[in-house]
Amino acid sequence: MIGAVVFASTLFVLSSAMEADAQNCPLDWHPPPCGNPPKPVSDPKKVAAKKASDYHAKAIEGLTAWTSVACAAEKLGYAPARAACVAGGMALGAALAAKAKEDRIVNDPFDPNYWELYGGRWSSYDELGLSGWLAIDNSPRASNIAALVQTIELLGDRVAVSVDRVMSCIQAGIDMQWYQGCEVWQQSWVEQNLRWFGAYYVELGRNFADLAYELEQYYGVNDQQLIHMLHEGAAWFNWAGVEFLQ
Amino acid sequence: MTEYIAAIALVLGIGAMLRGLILLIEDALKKGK
Repeated sequence: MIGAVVFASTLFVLSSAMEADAQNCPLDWHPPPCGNPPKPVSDPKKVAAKKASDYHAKAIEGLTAWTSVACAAEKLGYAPARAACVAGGMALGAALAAKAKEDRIVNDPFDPNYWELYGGRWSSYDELGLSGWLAIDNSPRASNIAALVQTIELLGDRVAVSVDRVMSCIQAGIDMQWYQGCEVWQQSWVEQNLRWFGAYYVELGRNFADLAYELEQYYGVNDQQLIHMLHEGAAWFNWAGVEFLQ
Repeated sequence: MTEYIAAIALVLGIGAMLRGLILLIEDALKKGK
């Protein structure tokens, strides 16, 4: 079950990445309104990122095959495959996140709306996979966590787009002197949102710790592995939150 | 700028983990009831 969930979440990351790709312009040329032609991969940071991205692309291929086999075996009832399925899913998630980061450095995406402050997009509970939980649990805790997750997604969307806009401001500043400078306030906006992000993560950590206790005490949930994961998750969210707050 | 890009990767990773946890909670609640 856990393996299947980890696998499903990594598939989600993969499908989001593919969706994002479909919205982008062709990789070799960015005609208007998509922006300027990408700069050649020449500076050392980009060369290193390209090398790492190619390496991760190969790792993702191998891990996808490994994880599919392990998770399928677990589903068919071969219990020892469970650990391999979970480990493969987590490694795949990490490799996908690393590749997404490297590709961003290599492609240096150009956002033509760099002169606007990006407010972000609200995702519905359906999109966030929260509807199923909320349908069977209408407690204040559940709605509190759902609202926090929704806000965190909004802030994440803001940061992702605004970072591109900072880089686009810098790129545009080279060609259009009168636009030079928007990277300063775009960057402040990124930093402000990362601080909010941190505060919401700390709050989410607190809620997960309380939820772990409540599930056991009041909901009759006796899955110790899940309770342990929730406590681990709570500590992790708290750590990540404090990191972002710095 | 690299540290912001790293932050985005972290956001992606945590988002996937959060979705996994939510599905597990839903499953546990169904079993618990």
